Amino acid sequence: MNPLQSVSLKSFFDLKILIILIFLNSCAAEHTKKDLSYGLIVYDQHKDATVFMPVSSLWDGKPVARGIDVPGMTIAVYDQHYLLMDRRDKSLLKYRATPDGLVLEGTLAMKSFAWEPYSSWVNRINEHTVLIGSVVNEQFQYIEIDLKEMKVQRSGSLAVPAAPKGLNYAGIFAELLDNRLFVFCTYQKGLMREHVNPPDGAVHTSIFSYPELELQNGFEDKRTTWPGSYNGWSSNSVLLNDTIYVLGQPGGRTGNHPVAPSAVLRLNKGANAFDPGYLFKLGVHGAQEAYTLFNLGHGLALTKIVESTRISRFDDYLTKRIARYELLDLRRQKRTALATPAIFLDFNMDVSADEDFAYLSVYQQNDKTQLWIYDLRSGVLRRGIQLDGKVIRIDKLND
Amino acid sequence: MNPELLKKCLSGNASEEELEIYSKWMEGDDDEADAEEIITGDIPVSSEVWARIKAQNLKHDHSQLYKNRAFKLSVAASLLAVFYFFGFQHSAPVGQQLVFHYDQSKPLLEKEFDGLRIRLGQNGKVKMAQQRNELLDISFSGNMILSNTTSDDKEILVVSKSTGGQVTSKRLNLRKGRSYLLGHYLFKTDELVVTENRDLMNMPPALAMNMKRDFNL
Repeated sequence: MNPLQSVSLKSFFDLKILIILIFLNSCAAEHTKKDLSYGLIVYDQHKDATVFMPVSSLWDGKPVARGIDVPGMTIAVYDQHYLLMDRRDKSLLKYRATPDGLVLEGTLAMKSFAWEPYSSWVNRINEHTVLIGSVVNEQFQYIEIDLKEMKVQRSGSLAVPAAPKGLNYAGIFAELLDNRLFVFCTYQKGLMREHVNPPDGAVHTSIFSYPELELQNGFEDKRTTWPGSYNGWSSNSVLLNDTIYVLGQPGGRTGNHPVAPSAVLRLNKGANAFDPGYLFKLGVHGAQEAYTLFNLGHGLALTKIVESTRISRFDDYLTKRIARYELLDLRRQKRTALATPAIFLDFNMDVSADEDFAYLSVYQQNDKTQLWIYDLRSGVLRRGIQLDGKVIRIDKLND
Repeated sequence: MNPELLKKCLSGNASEEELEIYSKWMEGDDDEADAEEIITGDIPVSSEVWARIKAQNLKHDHSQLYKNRAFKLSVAASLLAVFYFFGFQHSAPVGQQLVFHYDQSKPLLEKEFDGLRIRLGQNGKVKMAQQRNELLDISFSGNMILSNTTSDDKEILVVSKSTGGQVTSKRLNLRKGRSYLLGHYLFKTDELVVTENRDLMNMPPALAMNMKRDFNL
């Protein structure tokens, strides 16, 4: 073998090794990518801790907790980032989801901003900006945050018209659409004492210009009431093709409004009032109550229905599986009961969807969560993964 | 030689007469007398000597046995006292009860009873009673945090009295190491609402906000 042949043979082997290494590396990269398809926030009863589980598939496998325990309330998830409110030291935390767990990327002191989880909301303005709103001491306040730098861009009050004398704001939520911020609420006597006093019989909406956040006008709709939820992170409205669908939950949990039904209202693009021709009733007053509204795409949403007759004590809402999932076709106003087992009524983000499937959590008596997978096209319901603990959130982490 | 005399002589306090006796004893004059004493007595045979030794040993053994028993008894009594003391801290004596009122001057005050740590909200009051072989009975007004500090899950009975005077009771299983929020809530009737500390957000907002105020949650 001449020296030239020797060199070219060596180069050939080197090249082969290089190709193998590149192949292995790409496999590893692919594996990493797969691991981050979804993020689960799960309460582990044995550890008494909330944990993060990255998963590659919700169809099979056994997810396990990775990294640190989750140190606060997850108020929003955007682009593989989790925004947590740490109420102990009043700070906003930004974590990046990785296959090995959550990694802290930034913190923001929130001590100067009064934030109340029962009367708050979060709007995503753009890729790097969120607006957090909250009603504290009967004042609507907001804070706009640059998530990239984790700093406050501005904060102030929103001039929502005052509640009538002797009444307070209740059922609060807001959606941002087309440079307008829609703030929804109703009124109630007493401090969120929905068990004692029924709410006012209307959804009151204030429209603010964005980014000026100046009050433009407002309107009310008396077909249902109580447009908000119990916390700033559960879903109570759906934004679909520049149209906002808002769920009215008359009286909130206990549904104690004397006549109003649980129903969805529609706010069309550019409109200054809910569509008078659209009222999607989700039950008969006094018989069924609907809570939370999850966007599944394709004009579909998911809600949780409670049969009112199953409630004899308030404790039933907390301790019994008294709710069930129902699929809503928002455009056609069609309801489809899904045949999953009964569920607890909670206000967690424990439902998610991708282009083809919806993923529903059912927390079982054996302290495991069974995910059910609903085929949005064929309507077939199947079992997905089962995992230890109670799912608090499911978030799709790659698009 | 008389030891007292010997002592006197050695310390220099002896009289001349006593010094003379001492000198003679030093020279060995007294040996005979000593020997005579023995000779004049009954010389014990070896079996008798052994019998005396055994008797002495037996007496000594009894004395040691007594001392050992006394020592063991004192150790047992000490241990009992220690266990009793710590037992009192962690488990209430059967038939005992605790009544605890909220004290505005000490809002953070906590009490312990039968392994449960108790903290009361504003104007709260609790009565806890433990009877033999029965569940711990708790009746209270206002809001309360109960923490199970024991290493086992614990079942308790919470007795509620409605504003109309109707008494109802509810069994609760408090998991080890967990804290629970207890409050009364007027729904269709006045009823007890219980959640784990971490599930505060599940409570009715009005009740939860009272809890937050009371316990700085």
